Amino acid sequence: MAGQDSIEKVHTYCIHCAALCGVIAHLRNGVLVKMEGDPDSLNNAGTLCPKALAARQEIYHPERLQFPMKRTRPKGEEDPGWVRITWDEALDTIAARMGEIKKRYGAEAFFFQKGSNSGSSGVEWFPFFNMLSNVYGSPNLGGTGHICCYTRSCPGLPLHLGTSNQQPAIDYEKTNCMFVVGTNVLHTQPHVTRRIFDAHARGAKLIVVDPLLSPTAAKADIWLGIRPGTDLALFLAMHHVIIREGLYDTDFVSSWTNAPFLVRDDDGLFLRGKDGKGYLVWDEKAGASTLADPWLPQGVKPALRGAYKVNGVGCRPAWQLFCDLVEPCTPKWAQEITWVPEKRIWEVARLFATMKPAAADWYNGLMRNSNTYYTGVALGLLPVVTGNWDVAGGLTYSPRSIMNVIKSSHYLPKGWVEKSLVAKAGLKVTALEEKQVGPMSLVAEAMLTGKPYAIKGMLSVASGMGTSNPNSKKMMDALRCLDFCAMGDIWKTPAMVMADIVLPCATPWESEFVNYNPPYLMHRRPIVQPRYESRPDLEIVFDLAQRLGYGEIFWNGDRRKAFDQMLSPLGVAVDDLDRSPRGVYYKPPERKYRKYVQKNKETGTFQGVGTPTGRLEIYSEKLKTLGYDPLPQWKEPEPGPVSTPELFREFPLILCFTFKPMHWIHGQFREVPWLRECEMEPVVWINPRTAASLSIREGEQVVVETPKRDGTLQGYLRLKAHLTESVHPQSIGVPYGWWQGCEALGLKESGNQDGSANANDLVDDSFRDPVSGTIGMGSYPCRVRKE
Amino acid sequence: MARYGLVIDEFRCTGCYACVVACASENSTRPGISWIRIQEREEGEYPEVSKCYTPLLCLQCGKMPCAKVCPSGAISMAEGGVVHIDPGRCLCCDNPPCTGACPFNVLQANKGRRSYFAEYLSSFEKEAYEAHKDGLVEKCTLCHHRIAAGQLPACVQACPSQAMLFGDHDDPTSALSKVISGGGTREMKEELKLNPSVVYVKR
Repeated sequence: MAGQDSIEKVHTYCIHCAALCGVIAHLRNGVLVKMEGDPDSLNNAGTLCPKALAARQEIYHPERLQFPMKRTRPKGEEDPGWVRITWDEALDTIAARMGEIKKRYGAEAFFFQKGSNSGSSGVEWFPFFNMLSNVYGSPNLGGTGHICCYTRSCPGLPLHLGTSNQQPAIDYEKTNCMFVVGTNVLHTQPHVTRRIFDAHARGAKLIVVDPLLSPTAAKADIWLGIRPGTDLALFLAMHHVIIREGLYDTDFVSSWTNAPFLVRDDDGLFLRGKDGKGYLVWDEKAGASTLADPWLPQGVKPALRGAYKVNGVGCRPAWQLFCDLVEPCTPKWAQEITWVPEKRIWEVARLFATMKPAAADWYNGLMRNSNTYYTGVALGLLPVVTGNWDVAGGLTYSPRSIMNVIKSSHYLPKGWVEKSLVAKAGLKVTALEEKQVGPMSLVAEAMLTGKPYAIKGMLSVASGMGTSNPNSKKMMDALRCLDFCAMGDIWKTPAMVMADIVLPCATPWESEFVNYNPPYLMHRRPIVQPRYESRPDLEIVFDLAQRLGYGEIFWNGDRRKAFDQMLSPLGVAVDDLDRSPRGVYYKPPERKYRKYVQKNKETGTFQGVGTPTGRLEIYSEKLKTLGYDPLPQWKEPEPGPVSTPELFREFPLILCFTFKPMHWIHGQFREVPWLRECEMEPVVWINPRTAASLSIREGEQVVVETPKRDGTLQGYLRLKAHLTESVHPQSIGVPYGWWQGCEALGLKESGNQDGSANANDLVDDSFRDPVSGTIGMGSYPCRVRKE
Repeated sequence: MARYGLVIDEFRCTGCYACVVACASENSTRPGISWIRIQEREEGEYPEVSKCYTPLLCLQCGKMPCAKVCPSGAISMAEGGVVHIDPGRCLCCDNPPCTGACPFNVLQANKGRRSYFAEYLSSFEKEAYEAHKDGLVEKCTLCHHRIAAGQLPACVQACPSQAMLFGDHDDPTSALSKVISGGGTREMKEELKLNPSVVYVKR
């Protein structure tokens, strides 16, 4: 027996974000004393971010939800009249109501909502939650991809890069140029922070594109302070420079992209071989067309430029069309649009194209505009045309996990894709990827109007629906229309006033899962038992599945069996992991490069990439056939000062949501005092010149107002002003995720209504990217006045 | 003899507060009291603007300007070159001269609530918080309890940027000594010639 006061050290990992840092929990008599980074973890090497360091205050927080509760008063009343109930009553009621709604309205009338993947342990239990929705039969599962990582990893750029649901894996150890766009990566990915500095110390360049001088931008060799929502113009101008100066990789572009494919002048489709097989290219040596299947025959040098006639059909190589697209997109042209000086664009394009290997990374700063999809395409093509694709130090992609992924879409009834709200809304690319996630506005509209069909019930876990998506007012009105609504979370959220049942969820520290925290496979067990009556999300999912009669599919309630299934490709079982408190050593898989060159064992041809043509696609025929532009054509963001000047007459400033600091993930943790002390209150960034013209001084209370699409008032926030040169005089920076109080520090909850700090009160959700469904909120009109 | 210190690289500091939370967790300081803070300095006009983050903690000055003004002689150089405030001798002055004498404003008298939540988790937590008596002037100890146990100071260990290098000035073979002897460091407020053991990388 250990002495009463001795410290017990428990090896675990943090699942508060995707960094997955190794952690050593220090316990004394079963009570957590502190967290420290695990020096043996390859992810964090002993370092640790504020969130994990503050675990003690998160776990033992007195304001956590403690018991399941049901409302006793009608929706719409300020006080729901919460009454404590047992877990049995809560889960029985939810299961019964789910059954009723399915019977009466069909399974699609029940909506399953969860929060951000990378912001919680949801990244782990989400597949099981999805399994519950699939087995139940509803194609309507909420998610955040469209405003988070749509063009990066979820679904990614499957049509252009073949990167479906994979994530960029940048090897900072080998890269010479880091092109970072719309992400405060030094804070949001704490496991790469030191790697970026190490790369910089050995001479790699850091180029950051961000409208605001974020901490990451502050460390850049070159920071481009761009007009919000105009990144696409910048990338097109970079392509212009790269093509004009011949800095692209001709061999790579000819061999591995669809640049040489001949595109018909008449219909914009590829010229195909006999029987529609293969693609025609123009062989410069032979002076005739030849077939690529999709790979070139030996000795063929395909034309990238020019106009040709094949069997009487006028056609041009896709590359020629791309060149035509970017030809007018000069740096001078882009300077007018983006605010970025012309000479900076020349400089950055040349640097990126010549400092090989070069990598790009981007995140949700780029997922906020009506032109988001093509912005991602133009950016994704930069490493492609410069030959930095899937090479050491370039832009590579890797699967999310080395474990089995729990898949369950086969449980859905036939025709579910067409039935999903995403497909009904005409988001064809998202539907193509069989992604159920979509803009929350679709769900709110279905709840409010019953169109295209009614949503009558909802189970929401780990999602603050009243604050976490654009247009909070609309969402609150929509939630009120539901026949039944259950919400689970660690804290009480503003949306819960519309819930019928509230469930207290355990923190990730009190729950279990299996994961790979290199170099260890670990069974993460609760470091302390769930506090109060809280239960882990995964357990709630399994319990509900049991009650709904899906027990057999859900491993008969045995979560360890599910873990074993996940671990099976690695040759270990959860029992093996349990025998070693440290976890089981598993050699990190080597990074693989140029995967497209590998030969497919069955066909003997190159593996290529997962696009429709098998090649990286500079010109997307698939988009064309779906009715979209095949090339990343410049389009102003909507709303925006150029696209909707009428809105900017009354609301002349551009609202730009600020980057995330390391101590928050979206709307979480404001209640944790150690973290709240890092940033006591939300402030709006105003340029001192702008502030002077509005007679606003540092620290003064101001009101930020925005319009709806029709120019009437959408909403307003009350925030303190922070005067800073880190924001452009025509723009302001507003932080998001603020609503919660911090009782321990005497800070009251602001809620989610007008006059609160909830940034999503400011956004009309009717501006939408037609491809990704992204809500246009990154270039939003606003005005500021003194309170 | 050893004289422990830090080399802090401001370029690697991103102002993420990991050091601040690590310190609060390790030392159970009161709400509103922090033995390490981040200073943010912005220069220029958008877009020609720069921003610098500086972690500031007790620099363990050899000259100890704080000790010179202490009426009870409570401040001294302790083992390892750590400037030590003896809680038994600190008079908990109303307007402590030591806090004013510090050119970096890193000494603080304990005031306000003792802990964050109404109830203590354990007798251990109670003890840790209540050790910080009202009015007592305290500051960074360079985590001497951790150093003695062969560990890094909590802030150094946590820093995701690895912006802080810990080492012994008196050991010429330490990584810290090598950086300093290479001429790559500067003292904060060099003109005061305080001989601090916490120094910063020259930029």
